[in-house]
Amino acid sequence: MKRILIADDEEALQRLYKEEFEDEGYEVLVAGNGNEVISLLEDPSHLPDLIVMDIRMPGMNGIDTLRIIKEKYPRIPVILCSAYSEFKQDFSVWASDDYVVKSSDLTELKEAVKKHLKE
Amino acid sequence: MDRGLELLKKVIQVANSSIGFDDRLQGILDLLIRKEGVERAILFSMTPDHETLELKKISPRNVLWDGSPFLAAKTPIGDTIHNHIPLLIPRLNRKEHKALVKHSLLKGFNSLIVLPVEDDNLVYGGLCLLSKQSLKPDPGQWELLDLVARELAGIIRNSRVYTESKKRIAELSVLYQVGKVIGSTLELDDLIERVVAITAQVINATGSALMILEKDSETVVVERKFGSVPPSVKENIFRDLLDQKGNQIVNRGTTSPSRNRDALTLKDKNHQGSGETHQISSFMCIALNFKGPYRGRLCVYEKISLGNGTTVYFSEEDLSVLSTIGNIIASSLENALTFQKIETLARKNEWMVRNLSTLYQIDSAMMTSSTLKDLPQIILEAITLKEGLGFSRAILLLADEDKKILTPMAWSIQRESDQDPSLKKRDHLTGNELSGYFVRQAAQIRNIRQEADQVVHDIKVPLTKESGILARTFLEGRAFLVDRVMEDPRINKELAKRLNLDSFASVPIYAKDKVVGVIEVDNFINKRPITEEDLYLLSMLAHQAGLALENARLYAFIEKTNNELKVARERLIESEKMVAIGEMASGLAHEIRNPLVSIGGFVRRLNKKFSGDDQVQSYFQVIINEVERLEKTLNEIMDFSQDPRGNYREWDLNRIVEEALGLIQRELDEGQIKVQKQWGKIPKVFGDNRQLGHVFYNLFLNSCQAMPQGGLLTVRTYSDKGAERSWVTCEIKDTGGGIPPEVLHNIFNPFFTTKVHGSGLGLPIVHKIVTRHNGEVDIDNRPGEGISFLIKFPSAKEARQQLQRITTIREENHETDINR
Repeated sequence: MKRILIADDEEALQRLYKEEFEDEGYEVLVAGNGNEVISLLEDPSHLPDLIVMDIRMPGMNGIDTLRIIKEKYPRIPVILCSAYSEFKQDFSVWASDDYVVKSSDLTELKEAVKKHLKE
Repeated sequence: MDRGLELLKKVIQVANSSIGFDDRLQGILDLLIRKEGVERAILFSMTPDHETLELKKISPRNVLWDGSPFLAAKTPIGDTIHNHIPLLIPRLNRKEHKALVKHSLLKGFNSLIVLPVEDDNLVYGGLCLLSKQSLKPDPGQWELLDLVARELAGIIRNSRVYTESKKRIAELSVLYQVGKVIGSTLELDDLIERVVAITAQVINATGSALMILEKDSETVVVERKFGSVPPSVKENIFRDLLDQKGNQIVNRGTTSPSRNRDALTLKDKNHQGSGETHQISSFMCIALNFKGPYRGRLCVYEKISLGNGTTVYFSEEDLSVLSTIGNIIASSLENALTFQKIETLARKNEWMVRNLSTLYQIDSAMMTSSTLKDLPQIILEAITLKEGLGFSRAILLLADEDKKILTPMAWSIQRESDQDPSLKKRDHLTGNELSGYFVRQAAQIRNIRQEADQVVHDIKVPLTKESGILARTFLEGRAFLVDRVMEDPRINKELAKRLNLDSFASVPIYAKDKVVGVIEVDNFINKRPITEEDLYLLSMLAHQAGLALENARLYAFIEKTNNELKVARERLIESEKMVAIGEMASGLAHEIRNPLVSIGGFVRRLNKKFSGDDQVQSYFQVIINEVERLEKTLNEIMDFSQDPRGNYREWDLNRIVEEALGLIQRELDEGQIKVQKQWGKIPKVFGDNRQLGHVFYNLFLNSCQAMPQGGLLTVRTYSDKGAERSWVTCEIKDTGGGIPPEVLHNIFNPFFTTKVHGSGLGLPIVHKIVTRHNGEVDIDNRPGEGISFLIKFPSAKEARQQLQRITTIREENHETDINR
């Protein structure tokens, strides 16, 4: 079973993502900000196969967190999922693997996840 | 009757007779002969210096002597006269009288009686009586002789008084005649005519001449001849004579004491080549003395005797009369000269006042209409209207500095029907009415294009010295007046023929010390000659015109700039509004999007959970659709306001530039602009193709507007690796004259433009877009030639690296904003 880490500061969204991806048959870990993501990753038993991360989060934001992830765990694909549509073009610069603008329709996000898990 | 008394009676009869004075003296001497043994009687007159005795009369008249009429005063005869005591020398053959008898008049006589001829006041001379016998007068005879001598003295005195009176009367008569003449007129010309005539008439000369020069300039102010003045007496003699001081008589072949060597030389010199018929035997010349800055000469030629009409010599008396005339006329002539000068000045002043008022009126007309379009026409109408300067035609040519030619901007041709009958005569118009008149005329005439326009409208005068007077007027910045066009080698023959010119004038138009154009005027219809005064007036008008043109140009420029400023400001406000709305929308979007995703997401989950209940599902579906609609609206707002980097891709700059050229093709064709393209092998650039295209479109448009007369646009792309970074560059080079250096720093300022058309936002937008793409704009400005814009972008690879740095900073800043 593939493990996905969802990082978003909105609890309602955390729950939505978690339930939706669990319905899709993934194991879902949740973090409220960048710091939580990093500390979760430090436990090798929790190491996810893919990370879906918001950019605007309290504490460490998504971009800084992304840099650390890509430094330490370059093999884990990261999909940025943000309300900012204007950053979409910058994802490759930031070395994220994909960028999905948040939408109530999760189809795009789910396909991106599927794609990067090479399923 | 006593013999002595008899003699005395006869002497008194002779003395009181009506015969001439000389005849009376001779008669008395004749009476003395053969009386009391006297065989020769001689009357000597004493010269004024009392040095010499001069033979005045002798009896008998047929005496032959060796010719010497003089006798030294230092003789017994002279002594007798000086001493007022009669002398008797009974024996002349005595030794002491040897010197005396040597004189041929006294030779051969034995005895001599000398009597002083004198009255109570003056000694006139001496009377000598000679005899071969011995003379021995008794006291009675001495008394008789003394009485005779006194009678002689009386005759001589009377003769002198008579001569003097005659002279006085003659002089008075001359004065009267001359005075009458010069008093009769103040008109210089008239006066001179009369002066030369009366001078000749009074002196009884066949000709007279008068010349007056101005002292400093040596210009001849007056020159007049009367009667027969030999043509050989040319100006040069006259001038030579002018240079000589004093008065002179030149009588041919005489030994008059007043004859002067130089004058004689002159006469000889000038008479040699002059031919027999014009030989003058004599002339007389005096200097005229003026108080003012003049010098002059009055001359008379060839005196004619009153009696038989033969030529006679001028006498000292004539000279004195001439001097008298000279003195009288000098002051009158001077007055007349001054009067004439004042009159000329007054006329000139009047002329100036009239023209200045015309100029003033034209000027106010020019100032009334400050639109650039009307102004040249108003100027030209003012030149051609009869009420203005009244030329047949005027053409205003302005210089095209780029093409180095003069082309007509406006022209005007005088029309007989120009007069608007509804208008009052110009003289009765007030200043304002007249201004209106000029303006109305200009407006009326603007609508009437004449056939002659065809001749003028496509004139092109290359700005080289060789292409004729108009070009030279411009190049040398001075006025020209050409009288005989076809004979003048400086003329552009083809143009002269085309305009049907015999004579014309051209003046430069100055604006701020720089010649900007030329006004040509001519009278090809009425053929009136153009005067220096016309030229002067025209120059003044051209000067005014230059100022007015410059004013109008500045006014138009300010007005245009002002308008563009208004537009620019409106746009700026508009775009600022958009930015504000965008920012607001963006902030709002983020705040709304998350809850929307939650609502929408969970409703979708609910929808799945209640898959059996159609009614509930239909409710959920409504919510899902409404949330989607909201999200869609949100996205639209975001797209509208967001930073367009959303569309950034890698692009081939050559293609973008090529496409921009395609958009401007119509303008390029219409403007007759040649395009030269050089596509280099360049790396891709990173950016928004629409914006990049806009950069080049703007630059091309700019070049087109800089080259309204056509030109060459060079577009070149290349990549160059600098020390720190490598650029992808597109160079856009035009031949539009460049940008004045003083405004160069302003070209990216959105409030600034020098263009006639356009918003002035073109270049600022270019700059903004290029900067947004991390590029640079370099300018190679060559004033008078053209300008090159170097648009430099980082390669796509470098752009991404830069973008990363920038976004990070931005994100951090954004974070700070959110956390605040």
